[in-house]
Amino acid sequence: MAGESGTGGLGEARAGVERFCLVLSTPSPAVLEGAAVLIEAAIAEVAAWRKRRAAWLEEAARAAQAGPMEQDLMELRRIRRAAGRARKLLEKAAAYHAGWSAYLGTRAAGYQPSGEAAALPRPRRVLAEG
Amino acid sequence: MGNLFGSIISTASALRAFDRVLAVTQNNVANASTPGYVRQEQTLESLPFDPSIGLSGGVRAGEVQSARNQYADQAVRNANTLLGQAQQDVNSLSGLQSVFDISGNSGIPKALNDLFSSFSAWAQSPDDAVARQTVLDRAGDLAQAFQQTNSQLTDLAQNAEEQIGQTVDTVNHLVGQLRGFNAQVMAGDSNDAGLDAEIHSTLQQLSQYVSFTTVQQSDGSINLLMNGQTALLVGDRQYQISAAQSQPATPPPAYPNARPPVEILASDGTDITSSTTGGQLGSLLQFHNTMLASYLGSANQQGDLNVMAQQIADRVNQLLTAGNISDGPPPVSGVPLFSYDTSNPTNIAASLQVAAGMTGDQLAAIAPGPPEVSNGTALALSALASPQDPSDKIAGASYTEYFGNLAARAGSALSDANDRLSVEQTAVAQAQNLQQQTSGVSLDEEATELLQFQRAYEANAKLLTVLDQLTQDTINILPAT
Repeated sequence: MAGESGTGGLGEARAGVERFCLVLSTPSPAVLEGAAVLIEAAIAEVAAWRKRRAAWLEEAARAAQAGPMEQDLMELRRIRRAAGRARKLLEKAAAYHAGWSAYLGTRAAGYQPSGEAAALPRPRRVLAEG
Repeated sequence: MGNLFGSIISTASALRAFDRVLAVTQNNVANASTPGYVRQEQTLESLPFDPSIGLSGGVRAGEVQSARNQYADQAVRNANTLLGQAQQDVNSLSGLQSVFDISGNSGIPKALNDLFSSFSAWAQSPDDAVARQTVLDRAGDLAQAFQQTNSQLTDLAQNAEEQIGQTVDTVNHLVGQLRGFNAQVMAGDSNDAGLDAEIHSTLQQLSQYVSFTTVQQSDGSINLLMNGQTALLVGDRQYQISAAQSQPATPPPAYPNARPPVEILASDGTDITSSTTGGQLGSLLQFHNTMLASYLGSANQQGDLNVMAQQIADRVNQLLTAGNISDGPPPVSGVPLFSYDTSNPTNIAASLQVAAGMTGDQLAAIAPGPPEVSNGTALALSALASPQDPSDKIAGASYTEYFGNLAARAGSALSDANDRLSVEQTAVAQAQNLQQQTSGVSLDEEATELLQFQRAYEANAKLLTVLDQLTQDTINILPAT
């Protein structure tokens, strides 16, 4: 029953989001860019499950006996919870880097007249042609 | 000869410098697993070189520099504070949830169901002495269930009060240790890596109990501000906090006999409870002063358990006293089944009982009408199980649903706390990893890294939004079970 309704796919989607949460414990740019595929895969799994489920329910006889949806609903809620965790971890990492940027800005260039931290000096490159 | 002598001096100086580098490196290795220790670096300074005036150049050891990054340290401590708060929330709320069994096999829900069943059986045989006695017995069971639930909640409140006292003692103790470290630093030990490690290890411990910020002084000592505003430590002076219990004077309490809230006081007696929101201490205060108070009552609320006990008792008594025990002549009016402490609205659940001296034959089954119905009151009482009349409900919910809402509040808070705990556990690891990443990087590298990070963050945040929306849409289109 669970397999037919596609709950297995939802489980994989959730596992992907939870792996993303683990990856967020070391949120360097390179790691983050690489980890985006985990979320993309989870989105694809949920979308595919949705199509399978819709097709399955189209058959009137099956729709009548579609039966309890608790398992699917529970799995979807778990995915939402995992996505919520991922979002919070992503926000914490972003807040850390924003604060770190401000900290470095004040260390490198002090404060702006408005009282905010000075912008962090950007690396510059020189291009020579001819 | 002069050159040779200069070379010897230069070499000796370099050897001394490298010897110190080696010592610092060995110290780093030896302390690799010491809590709070961070890598120290021995700086090397070049010496002026001008043979014409006898300056032979070379290198000398400069100051030992710590790789500690105050920003990253504070971020780790902030994460630790949130983790301590989430852990304490889970501990406290697990105890609370166990009080509210909604299986219907025990406690108030079972006692309520049994009482309704006994009303129903009595309505079928209004003159049956056994049915009447069963109603009295089940009413006694319900009163006892309220008392027991109240007692369990009161135990949780007492435990929270004890834990708050212990946490305050621990905070004062740890700040006392830091005061001692400050004294050593101010006496000239500011470059002692071991002392530095002890200071930061102690700060790390303290961060799980309360939220605080540190301000490093030019002499190397640190000042501690709890919640960013209350001084705990300034140089070698400690300011102790304390816990107390008293009813707030303003506004005047509506329920002066309710259990008083716990207050946290600064050393000058200022009430800093409202700003004490972080760490284990913040969690315990919130649990005691807000969550438990919502059930047991406080200065400005009766408490939902008392509301429920009073509403049930009053409604049952109202129906019985409107009925007749016998139709006479003269007719004999019914008497109340339940009694409770009317002097203290926050003590109703604790004092609820079957009225003293009540016997089965004093139960009023007859609804006087007109028309008179011999089991009318008993029927009205049994209808409380599935109420239609708003006066048989509490805030629009049946008694059973109302209890379910009380239980759901505890369950939902525990579920949220478990989610937060899961996030904060990873967040501490994240902050520690970020602390490692942000030590000793050049500004140029860091600026590039930050731009890359921002792009990666935005891309992932967008993906998460898509996933969240898709999941929500899917939940919405699934048929309800």
